Amino acid sequence: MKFNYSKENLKGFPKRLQRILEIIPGLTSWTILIGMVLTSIFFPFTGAIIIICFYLWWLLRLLYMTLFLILSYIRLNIESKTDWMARVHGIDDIATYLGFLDFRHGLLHFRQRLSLWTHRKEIHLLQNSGQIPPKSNDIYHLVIFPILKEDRGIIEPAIEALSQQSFPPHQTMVVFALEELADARIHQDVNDVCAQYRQHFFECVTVIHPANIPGEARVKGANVTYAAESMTAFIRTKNIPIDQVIVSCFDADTVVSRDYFACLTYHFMITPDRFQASFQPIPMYHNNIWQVPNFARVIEIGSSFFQLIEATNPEKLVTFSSHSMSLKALVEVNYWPVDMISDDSAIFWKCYIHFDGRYRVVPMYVTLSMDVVCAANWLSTIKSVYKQKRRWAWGVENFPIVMRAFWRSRNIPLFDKIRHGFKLFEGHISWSTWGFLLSIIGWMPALFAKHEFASSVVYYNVPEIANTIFNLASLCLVASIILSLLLLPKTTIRHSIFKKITHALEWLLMPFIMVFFGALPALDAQTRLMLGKYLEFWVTDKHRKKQTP
Amino acid sequence: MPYLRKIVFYVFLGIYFIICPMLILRLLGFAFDPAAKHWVKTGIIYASSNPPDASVYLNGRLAPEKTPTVIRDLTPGDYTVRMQLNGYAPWENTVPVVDKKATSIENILLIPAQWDAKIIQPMPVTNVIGIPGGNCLLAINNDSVNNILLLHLNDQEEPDHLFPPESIYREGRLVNYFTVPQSPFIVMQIDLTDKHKYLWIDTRDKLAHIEDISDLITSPPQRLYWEPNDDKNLYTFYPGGVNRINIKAKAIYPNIDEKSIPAAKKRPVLENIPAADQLFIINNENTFLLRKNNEVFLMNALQDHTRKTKILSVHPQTDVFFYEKNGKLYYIDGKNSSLMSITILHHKPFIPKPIAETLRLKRLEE
Repeated sequence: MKFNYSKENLKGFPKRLQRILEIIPGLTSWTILIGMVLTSIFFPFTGAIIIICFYLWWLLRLLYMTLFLILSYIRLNIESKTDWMARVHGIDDIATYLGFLDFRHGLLHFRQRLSLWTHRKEIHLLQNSGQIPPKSNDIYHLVIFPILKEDRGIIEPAIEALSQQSFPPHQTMVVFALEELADARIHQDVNDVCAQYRQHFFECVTVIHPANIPGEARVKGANVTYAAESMTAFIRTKNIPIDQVIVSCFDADTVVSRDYFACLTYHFMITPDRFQASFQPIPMYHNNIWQVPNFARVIEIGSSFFQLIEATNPEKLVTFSSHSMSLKALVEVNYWPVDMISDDSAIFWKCYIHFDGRYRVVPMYVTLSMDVVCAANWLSTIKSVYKQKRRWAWGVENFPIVMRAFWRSRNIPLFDKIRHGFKLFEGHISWSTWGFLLSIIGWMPALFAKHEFASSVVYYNVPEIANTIFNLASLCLVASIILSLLLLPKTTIRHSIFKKITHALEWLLMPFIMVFFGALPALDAQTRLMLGKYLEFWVTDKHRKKQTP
Repeated sequence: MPYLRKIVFYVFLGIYFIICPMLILRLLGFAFDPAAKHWVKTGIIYASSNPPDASVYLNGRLAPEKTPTVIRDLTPGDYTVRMQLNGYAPWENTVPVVDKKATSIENILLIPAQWDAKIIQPMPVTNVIGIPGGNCLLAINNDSVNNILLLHLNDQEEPDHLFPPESIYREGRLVNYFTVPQSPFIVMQIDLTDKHKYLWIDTRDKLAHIEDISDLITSPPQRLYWEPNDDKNLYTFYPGGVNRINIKAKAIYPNIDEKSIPAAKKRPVLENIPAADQLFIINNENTFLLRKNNEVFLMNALQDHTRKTKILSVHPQTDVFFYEKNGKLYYIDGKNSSLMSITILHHKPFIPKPIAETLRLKRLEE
């Protein structure tokens, strides 16, 4: 469906509809919160019943998510030993490869057999699709790093990791999408790094994004779109078919694991309808994990967990942060939105609408590492983390546009519209309300108890039931602590067991984090959207101390 | 994995729809009776004591937890509740349990088998004046100003003379005094060489600050009033009107409009307050501590008004003072006239005061 994925330049009914839909998430969240406060005060019996029903729902959802977090971690662990390049070469010659797999099967450990079982299923699906994948030798990667404030200390580890990929780096094109407004020092750093590493790649260039292009907002999407357009022209001059190019849009601090592009190439080759798919790795925040305040560490590990859980549900998965897709699809949808902050999720919705619902995100059980937000001091870090979470929560800006597109679309199945629309809406509403309901509002019927309620059985039973529920929920917290310890980077050997124990205790900050870095920024974002006070792009502070060996 | 997710989702959804109604029934006080195979309406008893950790017996059966405890799933009817703690006299009462209601036996003050009395001032004392706002009391010996001792109750130091040796008022004779509840100030009327003196005494500091306000009080007033923490304005009541005195500015504002006098904070009125010479409502206001003549009693304010427990005898015609912050009762011993103390409340009440007040108000309304 042809659809202008933007809130700009609307007139008449679409403009009014857009505005109404912008109001709905914030209004819903505020209605829930204020409604619950008033219900707790004036109708405490009803309030107590609603709260207990909600607590139970939350507990079951938490258990459900923890279960899939564990399963997802197991899958990630299994796939960490996978030789993705061998699989890539295998797909190049499937007939011979299947025979080889049969031969190997008996020699493998249980974990490898599980991985192989999934692998076979994927091959089977590819064969059934009748589609022939491109040869790995013909596949090129285009990697875009948007840069505004990131200096050499940030970008060098990223490009160094690209140069050490198991997938041949000479099939990789690296582009630094540099804002014209960036400091001269940043320009110099980027040019230096580019010159130093160019030899490793098919091409490594810097594309300067001019400031103040009409129709663009000061957002990352505008910068990477400009770079992608320039590189598409370049690729065409080299006679490389764009359907053989995979674009990866990374944050400047993204350090990929050695097998990232091998894994990405494999998934691109094995996925039927590969031009209608994005590829989502598991983001980890390990670059500076021991250099940041404890609350920031817990928050970002929580973000990784969320992505691990989401990876188990590809039907509803949406791209997040650093991700990859085919250049063909990107060109077809006219690149990223140039006037939206949440370009990472917006590109998925743009594609989903463009391809009439026949677009999906393929989870990849491979990690890439980014920086945890870290400013010069503790207080500044709190502010930066808050702003970053608000920016993520600003993803709610997609809701009105997606809903407008769903309204217009005749080709996207109704069930899919409801499913995706509900998830998008419910996700943002629970993000902005659950923290408050669990930490503050849930206790209000007891706090404001008077007269009849204070001498009722309900008054005494609410804390008992709530305590039981919270005790059961603490099992999930224990699971999270264990997994966070297992996921810590193993290469950082100088950090002692004491530090790990301290890290485990940091999870006790969860109730505080849930409110101040979860619900509050989300409610802030929704309120701004509701009031029409649109958020501007803000570059995250990412400071890294120099590592000593 | 997606299929597994779907299966688990529907299983969890099923669990939710099964558990949720049961949880709501439980919340509302329904309990499943396995014998009758149906849900029955129940009530609960909340029992707490001061001091806590008392064993609770319900119709003779020991409850699983010690106080404070909630005993659930009780079918409606009357229950005999007994609280027992080593070193204290057992407490027993019969309480009704109503379906879907909580019967609160809250903060029951357990009486020790023997009170542990401590001598505060061995020298004879004729009366005590409590100044709770100043966290102190004054011990008076006869009417000589020279003998008034100031005792700060939050520290362990020895009592000191209210008036220092160099004070010009030490030769005076105490005629009358005025206090306001919760205020750290006291106004003393003394006779000094046949002159009436009015002294404004601020007890907030270690050494009391004494100010002569005699020039501002032209004739003996019927009553004095000031706001508990206002160290500037004093109201003197005469048959013809009310004067406002600004102590700092040494100014009198005669015959002010009575509406401009700040009203004293109104406290909830308790019903059935027993007749007494002195009454303290203690222990989250569920216990009366009262002095009648020279005997001091404890009485449960919420339940049985006929049962009062005598705890000690004091010197005739003397006051007692209960200091809420340390739970101690200060009194003058009936035998040797020493200033003594006993600890009535060893623990702060378990339930926060606002909640306790809510519960009490509820009972009063009922």
